[in-house]
Amino acid sequence: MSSSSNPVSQFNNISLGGRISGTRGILKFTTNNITWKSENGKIETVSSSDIKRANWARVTPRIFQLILSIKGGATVKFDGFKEQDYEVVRKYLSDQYNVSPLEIIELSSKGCNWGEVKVNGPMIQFTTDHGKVGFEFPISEVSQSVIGANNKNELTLEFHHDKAMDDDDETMVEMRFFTPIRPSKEGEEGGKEKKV
Amino acid sequence: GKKGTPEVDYTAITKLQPIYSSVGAYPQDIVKNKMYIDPKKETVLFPIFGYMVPFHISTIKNISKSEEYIRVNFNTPTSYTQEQIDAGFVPPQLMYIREVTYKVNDPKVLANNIRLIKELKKKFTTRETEDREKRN
Repeated sequence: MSSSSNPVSQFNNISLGGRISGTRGILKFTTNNITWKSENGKIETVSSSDIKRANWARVTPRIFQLILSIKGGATVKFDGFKEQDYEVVRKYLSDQYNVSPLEIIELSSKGCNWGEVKVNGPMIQFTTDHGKVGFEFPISEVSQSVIGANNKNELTLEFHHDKAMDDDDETMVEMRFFTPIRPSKEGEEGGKEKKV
Repeated sequence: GKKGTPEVDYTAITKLQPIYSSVGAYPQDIVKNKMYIDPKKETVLFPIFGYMVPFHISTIKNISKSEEYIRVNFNTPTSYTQEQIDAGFVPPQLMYIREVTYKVNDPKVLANNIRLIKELKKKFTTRETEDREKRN
């Protein structure tokens, strides 16, 4: 337990993950909390006792993300870690908060436009390539959802405008999903379930 | 994921080869909230809620502009075949992304992104046609 001599761990240039906005700040791990404070004074605090699970994901070749699953279902993500930060974060979470392991998850890099849409707590996940997450967003980001008037197999989601976004960020405002028609086969043994 | 389920070509469009082995193999100069067009891999990476999500150019049907918006239409089959269903290739939650719309504030960036994606699409289509003619 040599790390107990230094119970504070700090990372610079960290932004909130899962948001469009890339505002950076300082992320501090202290005995009871993880606190992120941005350059413009925005604060996000996670109480160590509320952390249910921690994951680590590579989001670009150089940037890594800490994903914290919070009791009650929310997810908080922090972006901007380097590869070598993994061990520091893993050890802190394990030694100070008793949260382990810091599981490494791989995002899908498959390149296809089909996948399974799943609801995971408040998160909508699009997974491909054997369950790897391609992208995900909290249902609260959806401002409107519309099922096609002439095409019931089509679902359009509109997203809230992120006021915190930088002017040069490119933001997705709408996404349309489609599920192809399934042929119904009559008189087949063990007749297949018909999904709508 | 379902264990034992083969990785399937759900589309009638093309057999999609693996593009990037992992996120670590993405282009080094990629930026979190900006589209990235990778001509080498014939792929466009779109920023979606903080992740960079690759789409092979063969999945893209067309791209258009409307004021400060970019709209991307993807190829989708209209129906599954009975063979795909019988083979267990079509889980109930399987969906296609048919369209995404982005707001891009900088008109230069917007025009450039559209141009690059259209060029890539054209190059890919030409090559596909040539390959098909060679086979025939």
